[in-house]
Amino acid sequence: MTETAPLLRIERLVKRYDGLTVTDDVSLDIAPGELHAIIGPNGAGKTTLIAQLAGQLAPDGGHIHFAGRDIARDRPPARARAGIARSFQITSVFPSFSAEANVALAVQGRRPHSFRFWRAAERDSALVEPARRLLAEVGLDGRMTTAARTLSHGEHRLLELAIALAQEPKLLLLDEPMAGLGSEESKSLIGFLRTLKGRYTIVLVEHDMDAVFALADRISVLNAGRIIATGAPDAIRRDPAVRSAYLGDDMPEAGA
Amino acid sequence: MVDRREWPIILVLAALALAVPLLGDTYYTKFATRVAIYGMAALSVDILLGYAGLVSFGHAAFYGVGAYATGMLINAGVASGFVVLPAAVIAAAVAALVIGALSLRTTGLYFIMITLAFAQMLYYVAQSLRAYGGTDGFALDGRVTLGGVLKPTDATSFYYLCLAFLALVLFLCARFLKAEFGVVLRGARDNAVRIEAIGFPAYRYRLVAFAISGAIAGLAGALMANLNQYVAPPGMLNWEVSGELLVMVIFGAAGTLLGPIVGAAVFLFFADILSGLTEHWMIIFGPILLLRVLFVKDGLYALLQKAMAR
Repeated sequence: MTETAPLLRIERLVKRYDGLTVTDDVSLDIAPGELHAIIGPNGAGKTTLIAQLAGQLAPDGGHIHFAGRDIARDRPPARARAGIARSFQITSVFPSFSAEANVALAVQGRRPHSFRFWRAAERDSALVEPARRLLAEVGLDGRMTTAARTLSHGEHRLLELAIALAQEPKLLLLDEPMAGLGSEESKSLIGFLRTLKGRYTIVLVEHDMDAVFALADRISVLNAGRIIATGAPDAIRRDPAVRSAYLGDDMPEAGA
Repeated sequence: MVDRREWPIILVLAALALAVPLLGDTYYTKFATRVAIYGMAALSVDILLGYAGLVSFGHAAFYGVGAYATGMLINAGVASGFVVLPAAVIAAAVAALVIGALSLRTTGLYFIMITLAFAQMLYYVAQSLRAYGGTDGFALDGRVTLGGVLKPTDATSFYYLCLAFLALVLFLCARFLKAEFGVVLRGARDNAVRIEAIGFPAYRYRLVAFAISGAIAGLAGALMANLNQYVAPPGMLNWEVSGELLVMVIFGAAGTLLGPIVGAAVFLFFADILSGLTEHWMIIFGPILLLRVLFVKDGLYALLQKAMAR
């Protein structure tokens, strides 16, 4: 899987807050089509890493090569246009927009610009139809016209995902898509994420170990800002450094 | 931005507006003219406040630039409205582009303060213009002419001219706020992080909105200069004007197109009546504004909308 040139190459990435190093010399290659999970205890720097990949946070050092170009200094809109989409751990949607308008706006983001002042966007089928299709795909077809602020938590998680998919990204950064979901909802979301495998290159940050081990091609373990192990799920399960970082608790047993 | 249910309200308001000169008293016509002009200026503030989530406390700047440009051109012998009005609008838009380019690098309270500061700068610049009367301002040689067709010299035809401009501005705003541009603007208001994450540089969209808003305020200023045939820093460029425009928007309903105009009508109505009673009419108006904020959720126009929705 690593023979082809990586789609994403993170090189010696560093981020510090007041002497606290939250991303500590992180290097990682992610191959096209790979689903790479990043796990680690709370405060390990997983969300900080995602935010540096998507551009919300500027790294203090290092490089991020995406599709052959260093994007580490690019602002989020430029990165989105280069083909990186992200979901947020804490739901981040347009609350006053309907579910459909949320996703349609993300579709609109694929156009070179939106300095168009005349034609009503909600009547533009090239924006609305892909939005409806995606909402149906994630299972929100009954909620198209509902204002996002009145959707349930589970529905918000699905809307997050639909917005990111609407960008037609090359790289999908998913920051805890399962956060706060019940076990049934989690199970169906795992099923959905499995359908995305291979269609997108995915970096998945997740606490739900069932999801991680069911989905990931490779896993990196982050602890105190450092990657302490990277490898196939089975190798990670057996890794003694990983087990001690997790104090041997919620790692599923081999073969579980 | 216009709900189907709003059309009855719009038609009633339009009919009322058109009928004002039939009362036969120029006092009412002039009052309605001021409502139309202030309503237009308040609408320009609402484009930012209601649709972009930006509190501009400096819109007197663009209103004043439009008024001063108009006065200067007319007194320089340029009377054609086809020159004066576009020039005033462009001058205000350019001022807004420059002030916006700097102000929009800040957010929240800083944005409020920096827009106020720029408007105050222009106020003192105008005060220092000796050739144009300094603090006292200056009288205009006359009103603009609009070819042979329209001579907006009498109160009624000038009123209809202002009403026509207001209708045009409302129509154009309704279009662009619903178009892709407006959707991005509202998206940036709803969630600035997300709008960038899906590929929109929010700053550029806000800046264009700021320039459009400034242009509209400039047109309002140009019309007011024509109405009063007088331009001076107080009443055109002072911070109270910026504040009053915000009050009108909040009174009427931010985030609606007609709310600011309803707000302007209510504000000017109270101002006229109350200032007849006492010079310190704000002492009475202040509590009324408080009542509106405390008890009328979303503003007067939203109240009308809700009544229609039933």
